[in-house]
Amino acid sequence: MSMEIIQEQKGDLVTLKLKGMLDTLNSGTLGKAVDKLPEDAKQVELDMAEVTYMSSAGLRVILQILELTRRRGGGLRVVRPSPFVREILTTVGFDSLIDIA
Amino acid sequence: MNQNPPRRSLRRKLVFASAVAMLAMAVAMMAIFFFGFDRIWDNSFRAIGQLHSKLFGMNLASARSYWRDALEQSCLEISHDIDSAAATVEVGVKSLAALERLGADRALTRRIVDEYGRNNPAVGFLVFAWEDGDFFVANGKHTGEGYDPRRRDWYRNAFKTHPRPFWTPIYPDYSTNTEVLSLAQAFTASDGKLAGALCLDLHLAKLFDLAAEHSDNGRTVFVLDDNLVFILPERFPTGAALHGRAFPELFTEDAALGAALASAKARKVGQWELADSSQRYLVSLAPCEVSNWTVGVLMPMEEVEKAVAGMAEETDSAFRTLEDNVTSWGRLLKGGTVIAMLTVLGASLWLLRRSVAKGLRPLEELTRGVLSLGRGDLSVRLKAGNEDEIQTLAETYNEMVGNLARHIELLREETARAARVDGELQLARDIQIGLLPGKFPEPGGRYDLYAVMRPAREVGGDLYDFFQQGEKLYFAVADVSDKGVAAGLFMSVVKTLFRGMTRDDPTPEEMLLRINEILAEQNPQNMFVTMFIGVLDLPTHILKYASAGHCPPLSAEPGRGFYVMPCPRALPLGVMVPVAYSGMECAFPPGSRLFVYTDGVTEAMNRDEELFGEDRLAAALARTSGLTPREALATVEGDVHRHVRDAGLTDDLTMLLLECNPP
Repeated sequence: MSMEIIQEQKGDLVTLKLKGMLDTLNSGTLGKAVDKLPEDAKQVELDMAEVTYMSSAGLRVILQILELTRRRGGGLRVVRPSPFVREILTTVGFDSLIDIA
Repeated sequence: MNQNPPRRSLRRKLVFASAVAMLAMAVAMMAIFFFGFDRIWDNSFRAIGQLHSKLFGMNLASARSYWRDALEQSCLEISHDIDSAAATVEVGVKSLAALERLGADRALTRRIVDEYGRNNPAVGFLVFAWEDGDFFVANGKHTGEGYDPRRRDWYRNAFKTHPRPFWTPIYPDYSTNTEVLSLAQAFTASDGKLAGALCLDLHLAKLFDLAAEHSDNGRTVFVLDDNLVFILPERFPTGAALHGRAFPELFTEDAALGAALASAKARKVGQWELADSSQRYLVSLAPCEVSNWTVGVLMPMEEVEKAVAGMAEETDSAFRTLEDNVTSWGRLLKGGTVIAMLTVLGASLWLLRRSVAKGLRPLEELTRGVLSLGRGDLSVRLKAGNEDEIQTLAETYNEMVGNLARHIELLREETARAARVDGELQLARDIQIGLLPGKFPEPGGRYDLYAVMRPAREVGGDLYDFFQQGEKLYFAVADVSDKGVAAGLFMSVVKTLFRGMTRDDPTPEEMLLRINEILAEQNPQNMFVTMFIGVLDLPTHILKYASAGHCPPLSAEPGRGFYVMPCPRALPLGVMVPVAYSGMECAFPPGSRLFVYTDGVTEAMNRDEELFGEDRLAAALARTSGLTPREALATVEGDVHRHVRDAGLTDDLTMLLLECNPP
């Protein structure tokens, strides 16, 4: 039950396309990817169309990214969240914090 | 552990097997060699033997024929020599006889005759006689008293055979004790009338002198005079017994003897094998002009064969030497080959034993190494052998022991570390579990409450809590955004805050607001916690509640099914400040039930990645009517475990069931 992360950068925008289950274990993998984000990455776009599950640990990483981008004067945007992800994000009220498209 | 040398060592087996193979090979080679060698040798030997006997036979035949020819040849030669000698004597006698016709007076005649007699040693008694009675004897020899030549046989016979001379038979001369014969010749006067005769004696020995050179190798030369045998016993001692005897009486009468006598009578040359009572002879006969003699050469067959054998002997002995050499060389070759083979075999066995011992030394070291490994000594390394399978084995062994040692070391470190961590985790868990209220209200009180928390890891990130203060029951369920020690610590902070702020009787939303302010103020790890807080006013049965991002609880009115409670959405605690939380309020009459849980329940996942889900949860809860909270939670948990089966829990699982009892 691994997770695939495809990273693309256009200027200060980094797109992370996630695929698989963002559970406790895989959240660590995503956390490391976030730690290695380029210095000039201000805007982060999370493509969560193929994320089938997300635990609270996944939410925490999303918060980390949010904080990081805000510090750099940018922001986080979750695009095409799967129904499950959208429900979680809404349940915990992250839709008030993050731009979800 | 067996540390004794193996009873049937590999070395012994190898040496034994190789030795057996070598021995078998050697035996086979020897057998082939001897079989082949013997055949070749025997064939050669037989061929030589055949050649030998063939050549020997040929040689024998030719030797025999040579000897027969030689015997006849010498017989002819002797005959010829005697004839020549006799002819010479005859010429001399005729010359003397011519003196009277030529008119020589008697004194001259006497002088000439004397001279002749002196110059011819063969001549013995020589008488010259006239018809008138006058006579003389040459060289002053004398005659007996009253000797009258004219009355002698030779005188009359000479007259009869005139002009040819007359030869007497051989007769003994008693005065000289020798064998003699006489030659008589009549002579005429000038008028042609017979006037007298002369006679001379010839020593037989002198004649035989001519044949002397033919006397050797057991041959006996004799003359036959009217079938009487004459011989010189001193010269031919082997034939001495024959002397003076009649030839026919000497031999056994048979066809050969008859043929020989007839041939001699017909004056022909011939050769016969004659026998007497004791042995057989080879006899050659040839006619002689002198006095109708026959010359004979006789040789015992034994002697002939001896001579023949003597001639053949040379070839024979050459062959015998060859055969002897062949035999001894064969023996030497065979013996030498056996010795050489045995030597080579011995040397090979020695070398084999040595090389096997050398080759197996690494194996023995390997055995020692493995034995020491068995005793737990991992430091032993084997020396590399000589690039064979054993070296590979040794290297593999070294690698294996190296890996083993490394793994054991790693395992030791890992175990130590794990023990340390486990110790810490266990401690943290114990603290955490200890923080959770372990005592639940006794059944039959104003309310029943039961809760469970099943951590996915040793230290959970979930929390439930409840306490009664005054007439109010405070209860909460929270889910920290991670698990592990940090989450556990975070949780304990949440619990402390939850317990510590009820003095002023706050509403659930006020409690969430305060906890969030404290958590969000200092939260370097971006941890957050979803939390549901409920406050039941026991006398009024009014339930107030608020949620910070927590999944909405389920509620059931008395005798009714569970439904999802309406919950305003809000951010979890610790994310940011300020956040406003909205509180809710509803009636919670006796018989009402409230089920609060964390998403570990609905998100419990099996191997097919199917979530337990809200539908299964609802179905499980539907089966709990009439059960105590404790039994109800066991039912739900049982369903969850049946769903995940061997997949295990990936998230902490927390459930709390509250039931209000009638007063």
